[in-house]
Amino acid sequence: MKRPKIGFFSLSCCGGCLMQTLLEEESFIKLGEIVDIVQFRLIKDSIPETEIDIAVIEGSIGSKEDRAKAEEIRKAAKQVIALGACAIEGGVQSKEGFLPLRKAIKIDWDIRGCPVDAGEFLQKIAALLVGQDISQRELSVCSECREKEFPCLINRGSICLGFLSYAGCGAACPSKGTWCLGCRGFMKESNKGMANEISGKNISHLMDFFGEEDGRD
Amino acid sequence: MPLVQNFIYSQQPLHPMPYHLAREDLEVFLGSLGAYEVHAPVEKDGVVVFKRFEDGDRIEIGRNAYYPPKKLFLPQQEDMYSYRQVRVLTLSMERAESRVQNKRRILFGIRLCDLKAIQLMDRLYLAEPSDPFYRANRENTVIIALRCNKPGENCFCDSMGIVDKGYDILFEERYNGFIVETYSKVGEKLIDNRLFQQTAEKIGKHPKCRIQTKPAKLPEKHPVYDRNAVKCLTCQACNIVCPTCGCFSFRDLPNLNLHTGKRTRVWDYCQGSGFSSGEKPRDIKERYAHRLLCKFNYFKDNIGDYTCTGCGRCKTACLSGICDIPKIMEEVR
Amino acid sequence: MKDRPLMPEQYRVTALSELALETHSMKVSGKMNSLPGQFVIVSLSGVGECPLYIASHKGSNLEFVYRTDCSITKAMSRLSKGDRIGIRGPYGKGLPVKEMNRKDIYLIGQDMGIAPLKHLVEHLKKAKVARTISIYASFMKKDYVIASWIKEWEKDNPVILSVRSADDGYLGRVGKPEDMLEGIRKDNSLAIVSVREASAIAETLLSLGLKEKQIYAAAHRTIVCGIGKCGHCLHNGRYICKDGPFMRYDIYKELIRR
Repeated sequence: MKRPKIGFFSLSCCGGCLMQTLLEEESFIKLGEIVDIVQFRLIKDSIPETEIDIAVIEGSIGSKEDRAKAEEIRKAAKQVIALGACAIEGGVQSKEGFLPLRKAIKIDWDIRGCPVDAGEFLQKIAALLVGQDISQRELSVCSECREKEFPCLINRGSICLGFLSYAGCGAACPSKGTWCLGCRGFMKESNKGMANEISGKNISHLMDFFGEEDGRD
Repeated sequence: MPLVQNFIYSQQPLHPMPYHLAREDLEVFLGSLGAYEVHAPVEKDGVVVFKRFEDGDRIEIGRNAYYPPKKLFLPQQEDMYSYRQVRVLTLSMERAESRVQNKRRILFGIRLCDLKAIQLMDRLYLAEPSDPFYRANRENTVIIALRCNKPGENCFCDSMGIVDKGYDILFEERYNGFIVETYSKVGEKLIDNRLFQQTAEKIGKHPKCRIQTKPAKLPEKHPVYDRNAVKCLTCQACNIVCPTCGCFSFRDLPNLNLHTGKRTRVWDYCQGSGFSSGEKPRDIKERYAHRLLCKFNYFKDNIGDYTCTGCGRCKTACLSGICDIPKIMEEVR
Repeated sequence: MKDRPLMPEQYRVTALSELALETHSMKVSGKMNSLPGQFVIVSLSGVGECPLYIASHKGSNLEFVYRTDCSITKAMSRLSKGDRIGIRGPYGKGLPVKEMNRKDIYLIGQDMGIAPLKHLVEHLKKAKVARTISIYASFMKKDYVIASWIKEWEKDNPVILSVRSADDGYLGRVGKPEDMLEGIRKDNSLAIVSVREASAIAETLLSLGLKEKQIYAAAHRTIVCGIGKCGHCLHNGRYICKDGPFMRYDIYKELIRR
């Protein structure tokens, strides 16, 4: 059976997501055992001429060139995965007008984080390759924090954006006692209106750090 | 009436004379039970949780655990079976019985509200078709319950009805230690230990909770639900801290080789927005109301009992303050 | 397996065909006892599970008709004859076939809702107990080819078909199910409504003189375990997987009122 072709592309970003997902824990090698990696920025930087099965794109749209590149990738790929906060929400640079990927092309899946976790990335790619639906579940970081019985930072008087943010990281930051920044984006029905009351102070400036997504209240 | 034959508990203590265990001997006793995996309430980073007892742990007696011990019977993630597909698919389901044979567990320090919660969950998970994983977990666990001797801040368990049975051993804190009664043969064997001295004192009555309420079925709609729902964070905290919330979903976890993997059962939450959909999806007000109605109406109709045990954890955990059940009872009356 | 209620059994795929764009039929063989109106849960390891109505059950041959609109149905359509597929069930209460003796049965279906009705027709024709069976079916235009197996039934039963919307000179009937219900007799009859949202059709039937107890409607809710434990299909106090999915209209009405 032919191995699926995967290409990795970067637009405007720090490059950390691809670095993290592929260079950490020999993920690159493990992935290479089941797919053909036909494009990876650190090796060569071009759009492949033949169709690829999965295009993984990190980075936001910051220029006409970014937009054109995104559109070319979309034409060449059967499925497109938006990788990381820049691609999904616009990233920190969204304050300067950089746009999320979906403003330029249709996205099939997203894998969230800033940076994305290598383990989650590999697990989602494996699931996608066997045909599983890898949509983000509408659950909060709070749910993961509490499943693991970590002490609640908000109960202790600290701020934390876990109650707004998408689960999937295993509450990595609160588990170390540091507050959740919401890097995975906010849930569709998250209650931003209650955020200041819950936190005991005005935290609006913290809530759009990673950019905006459609559909938030 | 016990649903499972293996759960044979006496309603009366097996001995007319109870035992006494000194406070400083509690950890010694638990540490001596080497053949068992002991789970007990311990404070960890300011939160009391049930964890596997290790030497050096100090058992927390003064207050109930923030998180209930339901995870011992219905874990957050539980392997159901593994699969292997080369030409033909083979499924291998870990035989639930092997978990019983290979593991023997003791749950120490479960309060009566949480034990009632487990007995309520028994009626759902052990009813036909009975869940083999839940059953195995229940059968391999010895229950050492702890009778409260003072009410917690948010408790209203006596209003919901105390169920005073279903434990192998019962402890009550008193006189620099504990009064201990045994209610099963297994319990008897465990306290056959020089640390336990016979005493003439008996275990007392359950204390009266500070908060009193009159439980009743709730109205299906009420402005209070709508007012509260607007403040709901959809954080799912109430589902996780509640000792009778045990809804679940399945997750398939394929391995990187794509041929093998496993199916797991994971906790799922009605307060998450993707939980249930139908003719139309549930909006935030319907979701908020659903959980209250589930606890006070649906199970009352189906099994004859409310599934709220009055432990007060949802009130403690809810950051928006919209889960104060006695207050809601008052407001809808 | 009785002691393994959530473990699927493997069934062999005997036939696969694409009936219309994104609409497929799959036939499998294996042992099962089922009643019309019941569903199974198809379980593909690695991909996931989804509930499907049984569209036909003859001896040890089962048929499913489905749209490829979720990851599991898409994976099903990539299988081949001879492959194995995991199935557990059947679940659900089933339709009240015993009550159909000597009655006029009216079957009203829309799109994939036709699947359990196909099973019911098969059962009733074999049992030969109903007086008449009439079928009202409404489709999306692209699926009209499914009508061919409904047309088979036209030999013995009146069949009224329509498409919900049409363009490019379609000559057949166009309309919503609730607008096609002519000829329905109100006495000694039973109506089975298998559509997305039954209220409009049920209200039309009531206005034609049927009583609520003469109407059965299919309720829809997310189904995960199928055995009334996971909580997903619990709505207004009822588990759709155990008390339904087909429910008598007086109960159905209570269920969906909120």
